[in-house]
Formats: sequence, C-alpha cells, structure tokens
Amino acid sequence: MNTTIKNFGMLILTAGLLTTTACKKETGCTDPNARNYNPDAVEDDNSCETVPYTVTTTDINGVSYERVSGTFDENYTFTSSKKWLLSGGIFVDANATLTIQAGTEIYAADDQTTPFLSILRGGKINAVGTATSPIVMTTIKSVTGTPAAGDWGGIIINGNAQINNGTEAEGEGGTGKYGGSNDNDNSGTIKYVRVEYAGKLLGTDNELNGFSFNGVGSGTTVEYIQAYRGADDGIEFFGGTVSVKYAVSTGNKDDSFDWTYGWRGNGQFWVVNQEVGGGDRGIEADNNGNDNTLSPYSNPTITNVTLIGIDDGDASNTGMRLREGTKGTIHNAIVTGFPSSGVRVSDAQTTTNMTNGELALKNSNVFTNGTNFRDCATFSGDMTNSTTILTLTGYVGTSTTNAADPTTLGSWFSPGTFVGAVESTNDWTAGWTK
Amino acid sequence: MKKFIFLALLLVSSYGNGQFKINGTVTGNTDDLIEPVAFANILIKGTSIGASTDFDGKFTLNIDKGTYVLVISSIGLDKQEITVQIVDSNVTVAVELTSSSTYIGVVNIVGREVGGTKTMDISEVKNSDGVDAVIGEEKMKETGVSDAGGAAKKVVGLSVVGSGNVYVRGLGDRYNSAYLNGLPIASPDPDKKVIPLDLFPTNVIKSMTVKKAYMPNLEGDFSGGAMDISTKVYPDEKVLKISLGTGLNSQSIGRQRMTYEGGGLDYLGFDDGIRAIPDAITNEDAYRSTEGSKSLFANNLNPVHKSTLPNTSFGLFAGNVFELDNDKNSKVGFLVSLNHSNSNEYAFGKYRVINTQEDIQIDYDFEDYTTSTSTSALANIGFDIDENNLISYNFLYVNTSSDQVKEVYGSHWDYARNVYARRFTFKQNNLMNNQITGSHFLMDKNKLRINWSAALNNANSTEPDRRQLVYFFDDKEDPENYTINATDRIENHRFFSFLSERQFTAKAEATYVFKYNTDNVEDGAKLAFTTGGMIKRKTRDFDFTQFVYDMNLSDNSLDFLNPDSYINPTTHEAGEFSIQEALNPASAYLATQSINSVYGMLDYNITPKIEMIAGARVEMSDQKITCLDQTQPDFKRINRIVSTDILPSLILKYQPNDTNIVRFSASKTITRPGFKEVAPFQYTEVFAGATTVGNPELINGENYNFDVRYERYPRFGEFMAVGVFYKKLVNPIEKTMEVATNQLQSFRNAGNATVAGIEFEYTSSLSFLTKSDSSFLRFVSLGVNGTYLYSKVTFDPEANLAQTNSERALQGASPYLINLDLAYSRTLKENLKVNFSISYNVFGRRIYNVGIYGLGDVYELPVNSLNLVAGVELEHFNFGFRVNNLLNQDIRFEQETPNEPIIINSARRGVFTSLSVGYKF
Repeated sequence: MNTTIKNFGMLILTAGLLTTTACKKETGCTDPNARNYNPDAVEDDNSCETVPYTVTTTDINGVSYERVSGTFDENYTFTSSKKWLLSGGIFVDANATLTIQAGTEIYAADDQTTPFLSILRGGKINAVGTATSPIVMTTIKSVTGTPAAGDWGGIIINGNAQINNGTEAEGEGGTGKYGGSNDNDNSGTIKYVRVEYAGKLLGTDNELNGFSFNGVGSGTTVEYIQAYRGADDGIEFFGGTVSVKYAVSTGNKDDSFDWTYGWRGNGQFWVVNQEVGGGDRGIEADNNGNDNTLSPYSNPTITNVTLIGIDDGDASNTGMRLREGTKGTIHNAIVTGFPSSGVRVSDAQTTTNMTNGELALKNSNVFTNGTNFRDCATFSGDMTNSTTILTLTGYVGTSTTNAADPTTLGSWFSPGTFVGAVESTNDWTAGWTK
Repeated sequence: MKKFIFLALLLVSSYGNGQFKINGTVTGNTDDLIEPVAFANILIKGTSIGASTDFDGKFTLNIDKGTYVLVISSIGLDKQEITVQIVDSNVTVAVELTSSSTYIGVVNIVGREVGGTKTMDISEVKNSDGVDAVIGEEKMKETGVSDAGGAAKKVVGLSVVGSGNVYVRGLGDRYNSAYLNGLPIASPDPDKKVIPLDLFPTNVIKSMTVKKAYMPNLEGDFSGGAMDISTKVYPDEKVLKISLGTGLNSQSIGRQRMTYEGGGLDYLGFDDGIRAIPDAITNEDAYRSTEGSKSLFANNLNPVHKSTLPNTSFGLFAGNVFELDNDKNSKVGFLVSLNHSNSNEYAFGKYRVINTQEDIQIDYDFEDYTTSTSTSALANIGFDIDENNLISYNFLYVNTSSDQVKEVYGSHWDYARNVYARRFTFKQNNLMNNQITGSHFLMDKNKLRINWSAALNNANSTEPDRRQLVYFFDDKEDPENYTINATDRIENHRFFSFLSERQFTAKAEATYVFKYNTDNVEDGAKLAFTTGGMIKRKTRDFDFTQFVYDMNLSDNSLDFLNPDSYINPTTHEAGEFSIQEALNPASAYLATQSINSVYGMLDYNITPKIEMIAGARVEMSDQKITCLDQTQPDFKRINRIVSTDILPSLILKYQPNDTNIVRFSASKTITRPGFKEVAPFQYTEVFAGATTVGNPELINGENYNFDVRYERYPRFGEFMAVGVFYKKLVNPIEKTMEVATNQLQSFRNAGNATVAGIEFEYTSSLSFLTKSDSSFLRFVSLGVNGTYLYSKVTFDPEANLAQTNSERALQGASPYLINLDLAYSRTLKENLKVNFSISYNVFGRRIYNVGIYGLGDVYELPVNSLNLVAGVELEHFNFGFRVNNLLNQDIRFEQETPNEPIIINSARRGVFTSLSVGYKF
C-alpha cells in the first residue's frame, strides 16, 4: 500500500523535475534578426551580431535599385549615381547621419510595407539638393505604373526640442519618439527636397504626412521643400522650434500645413496650392486639442504666404483655421479660393489670444472665399488687412500695398516687403517643384 | 457491495401538537469501519426543507406531523431515501450509508454531484476550504439568469462590466481566471484573458463556483477570483425534456429593424461564407484595386429595413443511466443538451468627447440594432467502472453571434458639417471543448484518491467583413443632402479579423489520507497530503486586415440610404473610387504559452476545531509572441518572458461548532502580462478608439492576498457570512494613456496598488418568521449580499503620462455592490409547483476610462436593475415568464472636469420579456 503512494508521489515529483529541467534557462543571442540568433536561448548574453539594416541590389523593369531596409546605426550616404528603393520604415539612429547627395532619386517600394524615412532623436539627415538637381522622394509607381496619393509614408524628423503634450511623445504608428528640452537641437539640413505621393496608411489608423517635423529644434536647417500630392497633411509640425523657408504644399488631400503641440518656429515663403480631389485646410493651426492652455503654446512667426484653395466638392475647405489655443503672428498672407472660410478662429482660448494680440494676422489680403473672415473681427477690423482682390497667376503674384518688412521680424527672415509668397519676377519654385 | 442499512426508527418523546423534530445521525460504513458523515444533505422529498449534518453526523429537522420521505445524500456516498412517519412525537433516526468514499472535508472533493440546488450551494460553500461562492442551476433558474455572466453578478463581491467581463472585488479581467470542470479554459476574445462568461447559457451549467482565496491547485495567475463552471452531468434516471420560448425587447418590438443583406445561416449564428474576403484578393500580397478593374467586393453597403420578429429559443435535454453490474455499482450514463436562442435588441444613446476646456468636441447620437444568437451542445458520458473508479467524458460546443447595424450621427469639432456613420458588424465566437476526467478511490478506506483530467479546447473569434461608410450632412432627413467623407480614407472601410486559440491542459492530482478526522478525536487527527501537477500549452493565431475606400470624385454627394448605387463595380470601373488594403505587417502574430506546474498541500487538523491547509505551487512558464516588425517587416520581433515562480499559501479554518466557521487565508500569487500587452506593435482595440501599443518592458506583477471570513449556518438553508479582505499588488499592470501624437494606450507596471473591502451575505428561508405552516412566508426565501470596496493604484507622478491622475481607484472597481433576491416557491399539490422571484442589483460609481490632460476620469454611474421570474411546473409541462431590466434605467457615464462632472455617454437597452414552455416526457 505504501509503495503505491510512494510510486505515485515519485511520478509526480519526477514529472515536476523533468519540466523544471526542460525550462532551465539557456543563454545566447535572443535577437531573431542577428546572424547568431539562437532560438532556444531564453536569456540574452550580449553576443548578438546584429544586422540593423540591409542594402541589396535589386532589379525592377531592367533598372537597378539599391533596396534599403532597417535602421542605420552608422553614417550612410545615398549617392546620386544609384537609385534607392526604400522598403518599410527606414530609421536613422541617434549619432548616425544619413547623407543624400544632390539629384538622388529615392523610391518607395511597392511591396507589403509602408515605406517611410524617419530620423530618430540625435540622428541627422544631410539632404542638400539644388534647384536644378533636387532630391526627389517618390513612389516606385511613378516609374512602374500610375502613382497615387498614399503610395508611401513620407519623411519624419524627430528632435529633442520642447513639445507641450508631455516631456516626450510617441509618434504616429511607431515612427519614433520625439520631444525633449533642447530647443536648439540640430537634426541636420534639408534643402531642395521634394516628397511625392506620401500619406500611406500605417497600420489601420495612422496616415503619414509628407513632412513631419516632430519636436525638431532650431539648429536644423529646412529650405526649399515640397510636399506633392500626399494623402494626408503636406507639412506638419508637432511642437519644436524648427523654421522653414521656401515651402510648397501642392495637392495634399488633408491640410496643406498643420501645426500643434507647441510649435514655435518661423516660416517664410510658403505656398499652398490645393487641387481637385481632396484638400481640407490651407493651414490648420492648433496649440493642443486636449487642453488648449498647455505650454509652451504654439507660437510661430510666419510671413509671405500664399494659400490657394479649391472647391473639391464638399464646400468645406478653409484657408486658415486657427484654433485650440494657438498663438502666432502671420504677415503678408494671401488667402483666396476657399469655399468655406478664408480665415477662421475657433475656441475660447484662441479668441482670447487674438484679443490679447498674441495671435495676429496682419498685412494680408483675404479675398474670394466663402466667408473671408469668420469669428475673427480683430483681423477683419485690422486696417492692414483687406479683402481686395489681387490678380494671381496660379500662386504667383504679390502686392506691396500694406506689406510689412520681414527683416524687422528677426534676423532669420529674408527681405520680402510684399504680400504673398512668390513674386512674378522671382519664382523660387521654378525648376525643382512640380 | 453492501447495500445501505437502515438501522432504526425510534419513538423518543412527545411534544403535544406543535412542531416536531426529526433528530438523526448519518454514518458511513467502509470495510466495517463505521464513521459519522459530516455535511451530508438531508432533504424532505418534494420540498425545499432540509438540513445538513454536523461533524458528528448529526442533524435536526423541525417539522409538522405527517409522512415524509427523507433523501440523504453526501458527496461520494450513495444517495438514499427513507420514509419517516410522525404521528404525535419527535423522531430519531439513524442512517448508515455505504461508502463509495469515506471521508469528507479533504481538499478538492470530487465525485458525481448532481447538485445544483440552493441548499447544495450552501453546503458546498460550508464544506469548502477556501473562500468560495457557489451558484447552482436552481438559483440561476429562480432568479432568471440566462448565462454564466448573469450568475456571476449574484456572487458577493462580483460585478459584470459590459458583456460578461467579470470584476472580482474590483479586480478586472487580468486578475481572474476561468475553468471548465476544473481545467483552465481558453478565451476566444483577443483582448480578454477570461472567456466572456455570457458564452455559457445556463442550460449547460450545473453550477458555477467562484474561489476568491488562492489554493495551490489553482493556476498562480490569480488575485481576484477563479470561476469554475461545472457543466451538467447525466441524470439519475431517464429524462427527456424539450422547451420552447419566445420573447421581446420593449424597444425593438414594433420598430422596423435596420439590417442588411446577410447570409443564409445568419439566423443560426453562422456566417455562410458571404462575408469572406474574395479569393482573388486573398491571393494578392497587398490588394489595391486599379481603375478600370472590378472592385471584387460585393456591393452590399445598403441598409435594409425588416420587421422585428419575436425572440425565440429551443432546448432539448436527454439523458439516461444504465446499470451494468449492480453488485459493483457499475454503470454508464449519458446526457445530451442542445440549445439555441436568438434575440433582437434596439438600444440608443449618446456619445460625447470633451476636452479640458469642457468644449464638446464630439456630440453623437447612436442607434444600435442587434440580432444575437447563442447555440450550444453539451454531451456527457459517465462510466462508473465500479463505485471507486469513475471516468467521464465531456463535450461542449458553444457558438454565439451578434449582427449589428450601428448608426452614429452628430457634430464633430474637426468637420464643418455633421457626421453620419453607419457600420455593419458581424461577430462570431465559438468554443469547442473535449474533456476527459477520472477519479479513483484506492486502498483501504479509500485512503488514496487520484483525480486526473485532460482537455483540448479550441476557441475562435471572427469578425468578417465589418463595413463602414461615413457621410456629412446638414439636414439628416434629406437623403439628397449627404456627401461621403472622402478626406479620411480610413473611415470608409471593410475590416476582417480572425483569432484562434488552442489549448491543451492535463492535470493529475493524488491525495493520501494519513488519518481521518474520526481516527482520534482528541488530537484532531485529520492529516492528508495532496500533490499534483498540470501542464498547459496554449497557442494563439491572430490576424486582421482592413480595406479602405479611396474616393476619387469631383462631387461626393451620395444617397446615404442607397450607397450601392454609387459604390459598385460599374462606378469602380469608371474610376470613381478604388480599394486599398491597409497593411500592418505585425497584424499577424503567433503567441505560445507553456506552463508546467507542480504543487503540494498539507491538510492538517491542528485541533479538532482548527484545520490548516498549507501548500505551495511552483510554476515554470515560457510565454512567447512572434510577429514581424510593424514598420520594418524584413525583421522579426520576439518577446519572451520566462519565469519560475514559487507561490505559497495558507488557509486556516476554525470551526468551534457546526454552525460557526471562521476562515483565514493568505497567499502570494502573480499576474502575467497578456500576449498583446507585451507585443511591440500598435493596434486598435475599438475602431475610432485609441490605439494601443504593447510594452515589452512589462514584468510579472506580484500579489499578496489576505482574507478573513466568519460564516454562520444557523439552520438548514440559512447562511450568513461577513468577510474582510486586503490585497497588496506590487508592480500591478495597468492600462495607461501615453503621451503621443494620437491617443495612445499602453501598459505599465504601476508602483503599487491596494485593494481592501468588506463583504456581507445572508441567505435564508423566511419560514422562521412564522409558526403557521400555511403562511406565505414559509415558502419565501431571501438572499442578500453587499460589498464595500476600497482600491487605490499609484503611479510615479513624474512619469511622462497623458493621464491626469497619478492616484486613483482601479478601473472597473465599484465602491459598493448590492444584490437582493426574494423568491417564493411552493408545491401546492403533487405535480403543481409555482415559483416567483424578484431580484435586484446595483453597483457603485466606477471608473470606466481615465481622463487625460487635466480632465478627470470617466465614471459609469450606478444602475439599478430589477428582474422578475415566474414559473409553474406540472407533471409534464412547465411554463416560465421572465422580465429582465424592468427599470430600464439609462446607463450613464460622467466625466470629472475642473468644474462640475459632465454626462458624456448614455444608453438605454429596453425591457426584455420572455415566455417559455417545456415538456418533460
């Protein structure tokens, strides 16, 4: 009798010991992407020989491309002698710089991925094109088929400058963290870069923008950029202090320019050119939708802007929607062709800012919109603003009537004492934009 | 084997013409060792009057003169009936039962329990070692509960949030576990650890036991409660019953039901394939329809109005038992139960979003038209090789479906015009469980008991072809006035998801009794040791995909009642829209969990009145989730948590006499992160809701649980208990609102959390209030329970989180819960029984969602609910009438703001009435 019990007890104990042994922790490399990945390893022993990024040559319709995937954890250069194909999210890690030579063609792959380029905090991009040799980032379908808005993700720069939704924030769809305390942060230089057909869905509910400046600091240089026919916003700022000069947002399906979470940079020579088939606001300006009073407030200084709207069927396009507590000063703006409002101010805090003079629109012509000024008597009553119709050729054309001199706004600003972004005598968009 | 021996029926003394007493003793006889049987049930046949025996096997029944049949039963012993005649004096009886099992009160009693009566519920609680609650089928029937979720609500300290999400003492899903006949059961819901309890219709449940104190034979991932659903077993005699029912919802009846053209098997709760992704699309890597081609999807986006049919239900129950060898008590029994029901519901309400400035950013009305079905098949085959060796097989299949059309309309701050959204959602969950269990009573006096069981279960959840279109309007009533929202492509979509969870569990347990509690009364004597082990292997496959409509029009105007006229193959060929697959490479994940555990428990009577159960469980676990990197699908991501945990526990039970018990329990348990909580990818739990991202840094939480409870059993059928509990949760895993561009939820180990509370329950027949045996009160029973709960979870206030409060109550934890049941049940004459009951439930204001950026938390406000049940039982026929949610109060959610709280959401579900008729052959 006793032996029966003992045997049974032994059986259970043995079973227990066996399972214990089976679970003994094996050490090794646990990163499935490493060369020496050990699938049985449970505890990482820091032996991983990682493969953070891959570059392989591939052939599409007889043309050779360098297919890139992964994260650059060291300096890398996209040379203009080759064509580059992005597959999935390409990250540039902290302390690494991605250099893109003038005239380089970068394509987003048409595969099961959502290609995008994301510069992580501490990483840099050095993409300097020229008016005659711009850097073009587009979809491979522009070569292989019919390109369309939303064919790929776009470009995301993440910096360490201050934001107002937290000390740091998680970007859309896992594109990286952004925000910090260094308003002078430098994420590199971007000049003469055109991003086409961005705005692809990332996951089931994130749409990427053409250019996303996430907590980017004022040490970063951004000049001559175009967001062309993206499915979401063209150029969007999430906090930070980066300034942008010479920017064109063409045919984007949502907002052409957008800022929120405490953006405090400068802007000069901005063009919005909406197209049939989508488009919402020329500028959507927010402080913070969850709490309109969070600091630091969005408070940019912008001058020489031309916003050209269109009725894309829903009659809801607005030129400038200033809301959710934003501050800021805008001079020398042309706002026209928007079926809903030209300029509209919403939410109590924003109105307070306007009344206090912390949100200002001056020296501007707002004309031929559904309603030129809505809920912003301060602006319509400002003698430097008018609803006088100006004659434009597309977005080209300016007026010197009531124009302000931008150089009085700060040393960053270039001369441009005229209302509008592009003078007919000096079309800086020629050659490198579409 | 020996037949039961009826020893004596003696006349003792007389009382005159008042109440008489039956005093009795129940003993058991094994191998000529005669011992008293504690906790045996004595029931007067045909009534609910009865008693249970004390430690010495003694019982007393107060009764009037007459002739009665007493049914004496005890777990593990053969049920017996004796006839007692009371003429004009008290009676003393002594009953000796033959044993198929000779001891009681040792951990984890098993055996063939027909069970399910209210008195059984009480005696099960009394006999148990932990802090348990049992809801049997009689109580479920009496109080009009239709599924296990409803039954859970009746238990002290339990509340149900949403559909079938049980909170035990304020602790939600992650702290609870579900078992089916003692074995862990997989969940078909990707976001839930515990299988939604409303998946189990009461027709298949014998009883539900809720264990709130940990014992080593439970899985260590525990702190709130372990819910064990016992399915019905074969009956004692041949039974064949059928039932039919019908019902209606006060809000849906007479209203045209908004639906759509579905499949041919929808009324049964199965999709016939009409909602499948077309093959040609499945075969493409990343589907994107091109101009001039077919759209491939059927153009069934049109709403259809149909008249609302009454709800229906059908049930069949059959079982029999066959004696194989009378001498050895060898027999085979079976049971088959088939059930199907469907119901229509119409609910409406409001949904709002506010910000810190109290601006109403979103102000929507919604209307839901829902048709749901529940189908179940249960089979049980029991084979008693002899009275000491029992084997049984259980099969359970459950399928539930819900087919909903939801309309949402109102204003949204980001849009110039009003928004109208219509969504078709079909969800189907099913569960198939195959289980085999065995019990063996071995050696002299059955000193060794071995239980083993193994189960294979497969749970699936599908949401095929959810369809949504979003429009803008100024005038809701004018179909000409609508335009489609072409800007936000994601809004116009079709969504498909699939989850399959397979689980294999096997468990073996042996108990050896060194000494019975009757061996030597002086030293307390009882000494038993239990050891066991369990292996569990779980695999989950999940995938989802979404297709969005890319509108490409100069004019977006579209008749919202007839979108198919606009979105169809012809217009697609004309290039007016295209369809694009929204890719998430991480959407497909494979998760595995392997847990091996061994445990040991010592059950020892320190003195005759103090019993101690001390033990520990060791769990070795390996949990792994594999998916492609969300943004870099060239790379694979694995999150793996391997741990070994030792979980000690102690239970003390002090029973000075047969009416009073004090229990104390202390244990350490763990909380494992869920699969998706550690998965490094973002996903959306609810469409248009916040995105959720896993946190690979999560570690197991540790829980320290303490319980003290005093129970009193003054007389048969009467029970009261008062308990206090305290829990310290170290590194509890909590849902957080992260700082992000969009709303992003994640999970973190909060600093710590405390949960404490008081529970009270009382159950009794009201017969003690009257002397008259015809009084109404004699047939009325009362059940009441209440809980007061305090909970607090604390986050590091310096943590970079969007949520406003770094200190708050646990989500879903109500500060108070109250249940009240009053039942009248009377046998008027042979074959005529009536019952009527009323039950009431209320929960205290509880956190539904946490607020962010200065806004306070969202609370669900108390809802009073009242249900009525009435029934008549004849020899062959029975009739039932049920009214649920009689008060039909608004379900309301308010959000705290820097000023006064604001009601943000509300809904009203309507009154549910049903009528049923059953026939017993």
